[in-house]
Amino acid sequence: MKQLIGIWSILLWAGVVSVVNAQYLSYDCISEESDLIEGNYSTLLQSFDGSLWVGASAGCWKYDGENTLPVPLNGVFNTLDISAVYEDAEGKKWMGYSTGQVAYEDELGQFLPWEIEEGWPQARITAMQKDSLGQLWIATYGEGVYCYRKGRLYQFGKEEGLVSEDIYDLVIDQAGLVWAANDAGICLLSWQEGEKEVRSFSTTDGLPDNIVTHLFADPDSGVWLGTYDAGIAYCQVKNNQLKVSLPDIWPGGVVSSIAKVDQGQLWVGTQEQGLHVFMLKEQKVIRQETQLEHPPQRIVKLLFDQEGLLWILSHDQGLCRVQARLLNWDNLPVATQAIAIDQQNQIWVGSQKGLYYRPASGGALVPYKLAEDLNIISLHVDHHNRLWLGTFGEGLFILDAEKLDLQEIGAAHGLGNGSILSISGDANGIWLATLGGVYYSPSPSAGGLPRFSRPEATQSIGTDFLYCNHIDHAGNVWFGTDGHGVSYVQKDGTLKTFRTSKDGTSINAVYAITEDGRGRIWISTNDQQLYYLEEGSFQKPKKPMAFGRNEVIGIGSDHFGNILITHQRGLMVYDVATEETIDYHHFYQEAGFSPALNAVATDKEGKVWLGGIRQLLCYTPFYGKYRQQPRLHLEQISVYLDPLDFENKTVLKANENNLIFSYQGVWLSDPEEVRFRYQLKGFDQDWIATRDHQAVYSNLPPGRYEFVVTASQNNQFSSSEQRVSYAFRIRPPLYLQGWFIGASILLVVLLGRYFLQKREGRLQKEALLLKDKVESQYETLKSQINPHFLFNSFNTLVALIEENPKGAVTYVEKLADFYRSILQYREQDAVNLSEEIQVVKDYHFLLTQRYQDHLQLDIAALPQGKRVPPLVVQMLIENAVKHNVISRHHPLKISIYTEANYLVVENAIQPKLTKQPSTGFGLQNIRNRYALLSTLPVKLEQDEKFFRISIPLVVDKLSQ
Amino acid sequence: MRILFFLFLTIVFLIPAQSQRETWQTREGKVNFLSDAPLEMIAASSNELRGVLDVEENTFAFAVSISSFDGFNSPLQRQHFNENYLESTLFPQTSFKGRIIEQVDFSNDGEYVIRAKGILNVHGVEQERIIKSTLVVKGNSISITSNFSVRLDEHNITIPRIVNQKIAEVIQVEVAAVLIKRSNP
Repeated sequence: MKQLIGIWSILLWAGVVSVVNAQYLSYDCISEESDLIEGNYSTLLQSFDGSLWVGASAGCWKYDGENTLPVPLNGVFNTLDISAVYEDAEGKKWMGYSTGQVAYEDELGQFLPWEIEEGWPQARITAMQKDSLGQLWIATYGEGVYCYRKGRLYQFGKEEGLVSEDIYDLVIDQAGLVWAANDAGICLLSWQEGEKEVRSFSTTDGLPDNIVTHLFADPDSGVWLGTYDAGIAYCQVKNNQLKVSLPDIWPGGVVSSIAKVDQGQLWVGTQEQGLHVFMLKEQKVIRQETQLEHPPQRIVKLLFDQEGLLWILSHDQGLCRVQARLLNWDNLPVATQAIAIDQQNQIWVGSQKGLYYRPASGGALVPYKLAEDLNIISLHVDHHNRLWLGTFGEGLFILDAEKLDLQEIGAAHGLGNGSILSISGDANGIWLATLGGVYYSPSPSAGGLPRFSRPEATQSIGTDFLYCNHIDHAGNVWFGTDGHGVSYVQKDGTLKTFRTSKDGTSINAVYAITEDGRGRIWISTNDQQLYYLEEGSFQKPKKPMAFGRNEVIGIGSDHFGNILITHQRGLMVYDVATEETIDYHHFYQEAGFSPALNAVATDKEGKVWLGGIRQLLCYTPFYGKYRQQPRLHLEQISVYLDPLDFENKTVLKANENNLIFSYQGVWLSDPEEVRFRYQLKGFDQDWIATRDHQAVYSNLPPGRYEFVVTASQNNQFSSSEQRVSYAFRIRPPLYLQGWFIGASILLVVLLGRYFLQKREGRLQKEALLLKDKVESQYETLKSQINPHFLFNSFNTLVALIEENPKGAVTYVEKLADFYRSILQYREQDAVNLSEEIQVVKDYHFLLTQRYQDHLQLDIAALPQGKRVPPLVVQMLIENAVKHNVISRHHPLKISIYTEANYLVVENAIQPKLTKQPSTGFGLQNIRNRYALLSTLPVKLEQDEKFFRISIPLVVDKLSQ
Repeated sequence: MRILFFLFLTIVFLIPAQSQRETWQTREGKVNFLSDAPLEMIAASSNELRGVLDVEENTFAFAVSISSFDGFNSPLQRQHFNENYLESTLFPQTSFKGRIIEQVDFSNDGEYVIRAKGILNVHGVEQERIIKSTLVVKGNSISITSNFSVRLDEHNITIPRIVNQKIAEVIQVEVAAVLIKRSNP
């Protein structure tokens, strides 16, 4: 090892060397890659859903990080010249036109003309704001200010005290005051007990300029004015008095827009002279350089968004964004290897070829000329404000910059190794991590030199190759080793070593050590892992960090205690409180930042300086709370491609089961990194990770579901992200619904009961019929074997045998036929009418032998295919013969004919002198038998002359 | 009528006497109002609208006598209108005076939609209003038509609860007038 002894004389060339590098903010203009129209821009707004709305003379465009889409305004008015866009507290947008018209957004997101009785202004709308009472204030260029209040539009104009009715801007501040800017200063507008009140302020009240072109309501309090000639001013109303404060000397330009970037900077855009940055703490204006060849000059609007990005809308460059947390320095002549910040807030940079520094007054980084270009690999500022320079192989040096004194420290001071990779120290002592082990020296007095030794305990570390060291808040001194884990020397001098992490993986080479805001030690290892120490062991962060293929190079912490991780693509910040990581690689991709190992230092303002190859990066942590994950919302749910009113409808029909969920995650910092994870609870078993903005489900069975989607900008999901969900139910089809099944069962039961009852009735009737039939048969048989009939028949037969033996034979044959018919038909319910008539004819033949031709039977032509109950007609003939006189003088004529659907049996009434007893059985029997056969009744008509009975004819089923 | 006359005198003399000051005065003027309540529709009109328009100052004044309104559903209704609601003995007339927001060149014939900003006095209560009107300029005459609403509560006109289904809270007013040019020496 090369040993260097002696005191070096120093040649200080500070200030002689010209600027060798430039600091700039990385601008990123999206206009080129988007469909944003070229044109006359008027305004820029960030909606609650995170999207940006750009108003222009040819319409309004919405940018969500991915697409730039025109807002559908065609047909609302016959102009598209938007001059003001406003979003009220309900998220409803208002469009002001340069013609004075106003449109608003309805519940479905469509724009409609705002119809008011008073009519629209006839002058360009320059601003719109709603106050806490819901009153809409509309500023116009030419007609003063309008206020829509309790359903009426009122004007604040010259009569009310506005000196000029050309209003450039209008804002409502945190206190609720309404400020308007015009050519005569500013005005405070209000309603006092129903009366309009205008309070005007001009240069006589302390304003720097009467022409106030822009107003910006400070999110904390008060209002910033942008003027035509005199830059900016800050106004506050205290005790009813206007207080104006004027910062710095104005570099020039008509102020067109102001934005407050976090708490430290006020960005001011001018109409033609680009951007100025006003540092609030220092109360001075600085001019920020950009890497752009043509930075925005004609600024329209500045906007500091929900993610902590600054947006610049300009006529010349369109829409650009700036990550104001990051300030790039490039064009350094060498590779940065170490950074330290001294007590005067000067930044010292060690490189392979010497030392550089940046004076506390700012400006460029300049070389600090030493006699020899040392390869400086570590830097440290001690409590006497001396700079310790650790070199690679060239030993240790102590520089007292005030006294221009450089001391070399070597073997004479106990230091046995010339490669000092890391130096840390406090008021007690200085610790070195070298390639020859740990060296310690008590802190030397002012101007004194150290006496190094190798502490006993550190000899057992296991290796002499040490990469880094760190003194923690408790005074423990940590060392990262090459291959032997991480060790620390406790205050009592004992050594403790960690070789494995909590999950058992071994910790080998440790490249960097830092400490977070909760006092936890973090280490980065050679196998791309980050660990933190908690409860006695090193563990990985709960929420994994997405380094991808990026190699972790260094770690550090900012003054909030968040962990900064430099990797090959750039810088990542791990928020200790939320466990979210935000990767800022996008903002210096073009510059190609490649960080150096352990070149990290935090200055007095809390800015973190990170060294890279030929570059420096300055990271300013923001105080405010900014969005760390995409702003997610459900854009649309469609059923068979038809949009669903999902805000109100949660029950779908059985056939409404093809659904598409469209969602949007707005992450303007890095839109391409947005990933989604969704799950249809009740259908999907697990989360589905995707980059798509749509989830499609088809043929969902009936049931209860909940669609849940979350978004991430770092592809790491846990349960803490914002989630958007839609719970719904698909109803089962009709045939599976409870009430339908119940009703069906009831119907079946009722029908069954009905049929059972009917069957029972029929059986009863049949039983009755059977009984009737049996009775009828009995009666018929009884009548046929009526001794009287037989007696008469036999007498007739006897007479015939003697007189007309042939006729007797015929008679006996007919008698036999008659009885056979009776026997044959009695079992049947009905017989053919022709068969019945045959029986009747046989019966009549038998009777004519007795009554000669005094009994006449007149049978008309009868229809075919009709039926009657058997022996019914015969019974009627028998009845007629039984009850009427039949003689030569009183012949009886019986007519049989059909009438409609009836068979009529008719005879004249010739009552016998001795009335035959009537059982009444015959007719009743006929009626009963018919009750089962026909719905038509048996009709009986009787007058003094005729007896007429009509029996229904039954249709022969066979002939039908 | 006497009050109207005084109004004219006031207006005429308030305007600084200049040579060849160009003013326009009503030749005819009609006011209709309509109260469309759930239970009853009441309409009445007056032909006695009088007014002047000062083209150079862009100011105007119009007035109509309350008692001149006629056409109610019944004589009793008219009596109630005069005595109970508008109290025409206390507040005999209704007026609207102020300034036209737009600058109109009355020497050019044509149709102009203008907004008149002024004080509307109904029932003795003054309200600032912007009233949109259509002007048709044709040679020496200007026809004015206008529709606007008057909220009863804005003018302290209280309606007994028993009849509030019969009288609308917002009265629709329709004005039509023709003005002719009159140059004052």
